Amino acid sequence: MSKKLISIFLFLLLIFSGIDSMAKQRFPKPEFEKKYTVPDTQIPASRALWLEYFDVFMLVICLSVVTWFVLKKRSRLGVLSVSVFSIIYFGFYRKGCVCAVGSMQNITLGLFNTEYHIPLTVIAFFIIPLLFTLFFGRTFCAGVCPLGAIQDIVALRSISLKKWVQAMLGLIPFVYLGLAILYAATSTDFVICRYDPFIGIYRLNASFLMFSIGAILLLMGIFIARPYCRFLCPYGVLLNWVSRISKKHLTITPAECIDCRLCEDSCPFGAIQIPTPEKIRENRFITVKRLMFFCIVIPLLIFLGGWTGSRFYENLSMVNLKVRLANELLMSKNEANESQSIEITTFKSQGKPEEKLYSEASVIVKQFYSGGWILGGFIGLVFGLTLAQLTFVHYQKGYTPNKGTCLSCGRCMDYCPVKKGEK
Amino acid sequence: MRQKIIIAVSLLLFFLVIYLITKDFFSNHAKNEENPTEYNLAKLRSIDSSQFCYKESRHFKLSMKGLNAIVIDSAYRIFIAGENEVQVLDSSLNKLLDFTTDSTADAIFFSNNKIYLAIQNHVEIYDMKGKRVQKRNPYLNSSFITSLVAENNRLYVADAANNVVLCYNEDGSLKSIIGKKDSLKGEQGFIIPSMYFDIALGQYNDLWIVNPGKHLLMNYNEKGDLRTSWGLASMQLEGFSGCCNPAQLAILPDGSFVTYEKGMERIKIYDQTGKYKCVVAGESDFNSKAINNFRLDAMVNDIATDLNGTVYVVDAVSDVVRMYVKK
Amino acid sequence: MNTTLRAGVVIGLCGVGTLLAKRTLNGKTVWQLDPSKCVQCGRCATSCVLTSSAVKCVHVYEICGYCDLCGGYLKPEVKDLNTAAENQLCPTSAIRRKFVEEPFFQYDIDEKLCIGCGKCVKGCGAFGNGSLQLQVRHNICVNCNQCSIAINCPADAFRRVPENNSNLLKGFTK
Repeated sequence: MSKKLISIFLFLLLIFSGIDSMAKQRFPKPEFEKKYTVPDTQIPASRALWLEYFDVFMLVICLSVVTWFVLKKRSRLGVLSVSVFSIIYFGFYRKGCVCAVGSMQNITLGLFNTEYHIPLTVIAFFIIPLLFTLFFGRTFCAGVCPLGAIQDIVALRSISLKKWVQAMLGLIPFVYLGLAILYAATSTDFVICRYDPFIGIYRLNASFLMFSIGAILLLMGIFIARPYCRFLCPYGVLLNWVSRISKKHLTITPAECIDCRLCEDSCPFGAIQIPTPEKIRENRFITVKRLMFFCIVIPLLIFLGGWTGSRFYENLSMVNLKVRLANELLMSKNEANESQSIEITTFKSQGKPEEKLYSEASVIVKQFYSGGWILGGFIGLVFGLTLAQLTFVHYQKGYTPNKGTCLSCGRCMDYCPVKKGEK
Repeated sequence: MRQKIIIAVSLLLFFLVIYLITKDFFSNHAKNEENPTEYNLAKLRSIDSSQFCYKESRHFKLSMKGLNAIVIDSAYRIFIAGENEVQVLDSSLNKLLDFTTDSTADAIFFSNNKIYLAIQNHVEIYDMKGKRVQKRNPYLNSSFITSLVAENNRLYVADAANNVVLCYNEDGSLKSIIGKKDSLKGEQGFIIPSMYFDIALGQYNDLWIVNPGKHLLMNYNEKGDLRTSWGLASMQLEGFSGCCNPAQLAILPDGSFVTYEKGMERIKIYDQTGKYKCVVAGESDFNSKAINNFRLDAMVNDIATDLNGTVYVVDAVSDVVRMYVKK
Repeated sequence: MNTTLRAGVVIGLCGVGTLLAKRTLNGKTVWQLDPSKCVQCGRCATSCVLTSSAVKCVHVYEICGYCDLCGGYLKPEVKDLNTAAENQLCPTSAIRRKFVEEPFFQYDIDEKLCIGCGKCVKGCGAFGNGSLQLQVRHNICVNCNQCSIAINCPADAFRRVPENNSNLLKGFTK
């Protein structure tokens, strides 16, 4: 019965297009006797295009200025002032969109979906901070990212966390990154944008959920500095990796470190690496044994993670609108007509064939299945590597910031008594 | 100690944030919420069953698609115009004639063994063998003919684009124009907001013209003088709803009027004096899934009557012809 | 070793960048609503991230019938044909009616009051010519990366359009 109606509707669509050509939709204007001009329908223009390119220009300028402050001038005050400027310009004026953090999803969508046209400004917002980080360290995080800057401002009473707590929490950005890429690649949703905690503050307008997330993170940020940056930001994962091989990086001391230990507790983010005393050199044999242990454990973790991830592929895929609609349609076959949701009634009245929806939905669900494996495996790998990193001891001389997690804020530089040019 | 508490509380808050995000992400929110500003068309269009005085006797499909216009002659032959085609059936629905036309006819009439078709901006006349006898010139190139009737060697043509009814002689020359705006005579002209402009012959073969913008049915003599008019603008059953109704008109042998209103999608009977009597068909008769939506096209393309008082309705939704008889 | 990695990253980024830049359109794209798919569900008014939704009702004067008994302006059961608030369909009274000449009235929309609920759109489409249509107004819309109305639309009526041709109004000729 429903099949017949569907074919009737398809047929009606044909008639509809036919009727257009029959000029039955021609509506003559009423003939007015008095002098009357029909008003024009106004179409207001959106923000000018050159202003979007100007944003990219401002991005480059701010990055250059903050990098200069961090590497050459070594001024915490300079970095702070750039942060404030970023909050005003990229935050309140541009309302936090488009930002580098979200641009990663657009890039993913562009790579997986050939029909998606990505604007040049978004590509620029993705690549430029990464390039700067590649050469100068995470100066983007220091003073340019509006999400980071607003958290940086409230980090007033920072308490340092234990190393293992920090490492475990540091896994969450990987999960977020994986989920964001998975959902962007399947054209489902832009997760990062949807749950951006601070955009509600910048728009001065937010739903209750968004406002609560933002407020909680800022409140927490007073004591545990930059929680979003360290434990949630998915772009931070990429910046972390890139920063590890950066050419130049922030150094605590302008010359050689004298081990005065004044900077030890100065980092609110726990990114300063303490020099290891000579006597804790490990037996080589034990190191090799530990390496072998991890060579077995890590692949196991990858497989375990992948398998777990694939178990959840149905739940993950339900976020996709097509899958959800297909599911509802299947379930509604048993229900009465009145209780159908508006999605079902609209879909039925549009006259699209049900089989097409089902086939599209099953393709997407298969994508989620393989995506689930990859995501789970990735998390497993990261978990294993984090564990490995915790057990290994870094051998180093002098106090240096961890090139990956240091956000180049420059607070530590003020603590160092060494003057430039000294030996 | 205090530091430990602060750390514990902060981490708790952090996981609260993560929990809120995941819960919101995977929940099926805002899907079945009530629309506070809903305009429930289904409720508005529903008609009480006691108002129905006609019931459907049968409906039939044709091999032709895109059924558009219909007329019944005194011998109960059914003339239907569809997509680029015209078919003639007898009262037992056997096909008598079938011929193609240049494009779909918007109106059809039969008189004096000739089939009159309204094709876009002009009139074409075919004989009962399916051959085109005449292709007349349009009144204006911009014309759009929505209805035509022939009576006593005169042909009345309703031009919806130019808001006039043209009266032609048998040879095709223009005799008079009804409804041309003339401030000296006080003639306001017909108000036609959308392309629905119907005319019909009354009980005494007098000319009835629908003025959809004013919700009036007007009776004219062939000179173009108004004899009488009636009509009421109202969403209730007694009146004509929307901006421009009735979209289609047919007149029963006893002089009662059959009107179709688009939008509200109802076919009603008014008596000879213009008083509302009862309902022939409502939206529920047309099997449409778009109960609470609107359709910018009407659900009914044309209505006609025969000498027995049967009402014929061209159902555009299902592309069938439905016949209604008195209950 | 680091230098080779660095070079690799630069090449990789530039490669991705050029690959995607080739597919880019000239100019930017903005969100727009397709009125032919819209079912006037009312979610445009509530789903927008802005308090006053960026979706507003737009009047295409070209196809308006200028009727006295306007299907989008008046409630269906009105007794008197006047502009009293209880007769108006619009919940915020955003439609202004101006007498032109008998029997034509001009209807204008005050966008500051319009909330984008679509009630008048439904009425106009059902009983009129369909000249009232919902559209995204780009002087208000902040052009989010992910439009929150778009994911809530039951008719999937939202899509991205180029900025220089940013309206999808039916019956409107530029």
